[in-house]
Amino acid sequence: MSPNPETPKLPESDEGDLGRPAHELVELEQEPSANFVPILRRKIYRRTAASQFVNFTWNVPAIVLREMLAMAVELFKGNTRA
Amino acid sequence: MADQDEELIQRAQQSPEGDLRAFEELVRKYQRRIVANCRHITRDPNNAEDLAQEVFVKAFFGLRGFEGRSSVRHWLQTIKVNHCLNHLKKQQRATLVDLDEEESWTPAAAVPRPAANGLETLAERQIIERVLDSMSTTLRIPLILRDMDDLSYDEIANMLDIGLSAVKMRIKRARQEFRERYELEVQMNRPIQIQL
Repeated sequence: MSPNPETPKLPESDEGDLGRPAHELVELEQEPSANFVPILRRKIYRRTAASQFVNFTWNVPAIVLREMLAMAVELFKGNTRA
Repeated sequence: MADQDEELIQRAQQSPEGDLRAFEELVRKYQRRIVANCRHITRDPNNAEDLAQEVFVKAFFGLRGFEGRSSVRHWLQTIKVNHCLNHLKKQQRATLVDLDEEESWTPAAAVPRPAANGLETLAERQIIERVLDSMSTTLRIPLILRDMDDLSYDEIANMLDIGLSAVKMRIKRARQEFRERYELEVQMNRPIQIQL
């Protein structure tokens, strides 16, 4: 509940008489547990690793196939030259 | 402050993969607000931190897509609101609870009163939490989005997928209800003065 300079300043009354804004909510904050950031860090690392693994499994077969095609093309060229 | 946020975002965007330092500064700045917000939108204190962490994970992986057209605070709020609303929808599907149902509410006469020193703000926070928890989802969420997140009526209408006039009507009713219940709770929790 400490005042935060980032919190918006609500007007006293809204357009169209929508009642007095609940100023009590503006500074409502809740202190997270001490391991909030370490857990978040682990979640990010885990998801990064998962996406890298997916990229790897998706790209490696394509690379292998491309290389094999290139080899076949080179072999074919070599044969026709001979 | 907004410049500082933009600088942090730029540093986070430019930092090599795995370097979370700039992003963590941003997390430390907004974590209290996001946790409180997740807790009150979903009314789920046990999952509030989990939800807040998922919001930050989404923000981290969406960093490259952030173009700076809105403020960092507003960008985080949008991610958070969408994530919490999805969570509520999933819960609703799982439990088949009508989110529009009115909750019964009685003022907390028996709530333990903290000593009247530095705990005043804690007591006030508990009162606000109790009042918000007692409100129906239909009124609570628009109130939070407007008065806590400072989102515009149009944005709220888009997020909740309802009309602009419905949003305004709900906010008006929510403010009335919040005010009435809050004042009643404050009266009930006022420390008893003993005259000797």
